[in-house]
Amino acid sequence: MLTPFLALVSFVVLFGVIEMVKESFGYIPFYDLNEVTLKYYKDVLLSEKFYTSLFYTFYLGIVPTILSVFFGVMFAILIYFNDKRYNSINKVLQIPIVIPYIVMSFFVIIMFSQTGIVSSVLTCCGLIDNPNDFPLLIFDEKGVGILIVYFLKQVPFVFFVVSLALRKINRNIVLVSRNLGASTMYTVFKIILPLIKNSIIVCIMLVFSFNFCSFEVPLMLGNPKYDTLPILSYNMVMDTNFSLRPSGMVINTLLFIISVVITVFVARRFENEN
Amino acid sequence: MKIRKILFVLLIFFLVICCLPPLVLVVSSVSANWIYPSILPNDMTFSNIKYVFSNGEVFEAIYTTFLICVLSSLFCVFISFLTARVIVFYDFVGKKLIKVLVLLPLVVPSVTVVSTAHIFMIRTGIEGTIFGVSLIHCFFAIPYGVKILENHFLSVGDKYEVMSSNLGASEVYTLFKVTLPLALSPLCFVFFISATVSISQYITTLIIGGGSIKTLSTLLVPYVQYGEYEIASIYSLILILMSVVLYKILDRKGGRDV
Repeated sequence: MLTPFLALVSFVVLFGVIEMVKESFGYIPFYDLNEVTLKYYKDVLLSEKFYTSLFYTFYLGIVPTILSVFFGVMFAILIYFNDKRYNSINKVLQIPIVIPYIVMSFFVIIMFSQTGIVSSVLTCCGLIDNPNDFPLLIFDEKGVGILIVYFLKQVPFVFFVVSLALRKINRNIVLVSRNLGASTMYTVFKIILPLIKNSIIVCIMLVFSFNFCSFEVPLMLGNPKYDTLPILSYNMVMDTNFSLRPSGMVINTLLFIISVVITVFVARRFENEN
Repeated sequence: MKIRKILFVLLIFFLVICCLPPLVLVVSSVSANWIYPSILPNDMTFSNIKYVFSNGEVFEAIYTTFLICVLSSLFCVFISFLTARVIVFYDFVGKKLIKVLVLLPLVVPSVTVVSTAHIFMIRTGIEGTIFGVSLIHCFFAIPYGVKILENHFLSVGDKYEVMSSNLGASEVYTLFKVTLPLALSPLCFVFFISATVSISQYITTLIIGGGSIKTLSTLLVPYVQYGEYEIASIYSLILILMSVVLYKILDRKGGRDV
């Protein structure tokens, strides 16, 4: 019964990985490269570009994760205390969920580029005189546009997951805590957060791993000077200059190892959850 | 409660921004000559919509997107059904490994998977076919499918099936009369979740499709990159519409007991 799954995995991942590792050691008979060498690993690991990209990839992985999880959890707890508004807010927050990442990136370009809508509105209010006064948010070095896209898409996601966990909490526990004289803040930090800890951790891992390996959003909104690792490897592997291919495969191998490590952690968390 | 007030204002602000994308895209799709610094377009025109729908490209793209969606979802339902059953009901060596493998697609960068699988796909000759693209899309939906069905099998258990075979039903009869009807609602849920995963895929379709498979998202991105915002908005609206339809069905099917 496992055959179809294993067939798919081996078809999609296993053969690819074998090929990838082979090519990363410089063994590509098709291009007359028959020597097994560590040269490409050395090249990549000694190049400055790799570390800039690695840093940038982790930056784009960690910062939006902290922001979205923080605000998602806060909003969910806020709504937990004002239960009446849950349904209407629920409806509005479904909008970003159904919008694909590509479309959301496009929306952010329309809104926040230097000649975008926000800039136009500010000009009409007389706050700025020309497009150059508007800060560069898209294609910039800090990736603000990318952060906005992740934020818009992931706050609702975290909100829904955490709300589900919150609804499972027995409300009497909260009432008892309030009754015994605990302040709201104390109740939130000592009662509610520990109870939903597991779903928050699952959220953090899912959101981080998505941000870490996302391709489309940095491609559409990122500064071409700063590539994330997936874009760097894509450019190298698909380059018309075949000599870059092994280096691209080295980056792929490293990315693969990083993500396998993350997966093992995620799997352990899921286990605890059940 | 100062913090609560601040949070509430932030939440309202966030909700307003959430409502904006569809509105902005609709306005932009019928706009003409919408340039800085006018807040609203100077003119309204339907010529962009006419242009998009006058060439067959968009219908072809909708058809391809739909076809890949359905195919990959069917694969995903089939594979996750079997895998979830094995994980829940059987004990065997290497079960932990299978569990890690199931979660792998969530974490591995799609570019890494695709650019390596590409080589193998070229060798087997399914690169550039709808079948190949559907397989790749299905791969990325597997974790959701298996998780959902695992929960279902855990909560339902195998008592009904044991009872059915005790009463003399054959395995095939049990499968069609007991197991599948019980799992119908989560199966639909898995189907539509994997369909939503499929329609938003871009880079996987681009590489495995080899440029010959054109879905809505692979058409949309170049329009954005070359600044044809009006046309890109129309494509975006079609994509959103497709996801909304899927989401509504998913909500109805899944809302009951998942």
